[in-house]
Amino acid sequence: MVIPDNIDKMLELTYTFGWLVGVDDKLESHLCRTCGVKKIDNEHLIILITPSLAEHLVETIQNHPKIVFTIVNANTFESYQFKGKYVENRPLNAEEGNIKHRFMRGIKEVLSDMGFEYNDRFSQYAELEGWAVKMKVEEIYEQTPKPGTGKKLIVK
Amino acid sequence: MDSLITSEIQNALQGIVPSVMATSSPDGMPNLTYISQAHFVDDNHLAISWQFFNKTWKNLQTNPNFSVVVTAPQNWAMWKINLRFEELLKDGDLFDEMEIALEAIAIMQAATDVFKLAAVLMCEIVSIETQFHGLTG
Repeated sequence: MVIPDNIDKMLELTYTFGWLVGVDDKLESHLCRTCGVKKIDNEHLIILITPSLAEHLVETIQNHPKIVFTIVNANTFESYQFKGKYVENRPLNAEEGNIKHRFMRGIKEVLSDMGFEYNDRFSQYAELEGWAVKMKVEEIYEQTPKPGTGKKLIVK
Repeated sequence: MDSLITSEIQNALQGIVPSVMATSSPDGMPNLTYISQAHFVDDNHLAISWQFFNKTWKNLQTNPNFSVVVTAPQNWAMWKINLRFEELLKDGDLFDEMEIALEAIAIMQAATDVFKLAAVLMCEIVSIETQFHGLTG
């Protein structure tokens, strides 16, 4: 699989917001806002999460590896959903820590543009411990809010 | 008994920071979509605006339990609301009220084709979890 260029570029934007979701054996969803992403190769992503936001998410995806990672451009609402499998999780390395820091700054800027100034208080959220989740991407779907959304993208 | 939906959470329902809705297929494949409105109905119910649900609707038909995460823009507090789909509304007072609210969002976003209400999901509130208590100070 090859992640299309436009989506590739979107992954690097600090105003691309994301969510990681897993489902437990009772079919309850566990999800949290992500704090960055790094493409490893054409099939794998490292998704940065804040585990304290979703107490059971990591345990859920370790036991039930079907996961989705959904991204949205905060300015245009262009959106895509990656479906695939959880591979592993671990603490952030230095590079990923920098990605998280840059991404959190991006969230703060988007909110500032909307008129919400959090100033230094935002560090209470931005400095929550981050964690890296590796995902094997199997399918990508269009999720941009428009008629006919939900189509699977053909990626070679 | 106090409502599960506090005034703080009601602030988060307005959709200023878009909310998300997570459903699951019977074989445990998640699906997540953004929603425009999560509307407070009463102490035990929320109504969700439906504009473009494809996979979401398929999932709800076999598994009516799902979750929504809402964010309060004032302090970035976040809550996961676990819901159970009860019925689909395509008209009535609530539908009309949500349609007007959605039109207002559409005008602000200059996207009237996108923000057109197709139906309303009436849902029972099962439980609420705080994901982030909000920025303080």
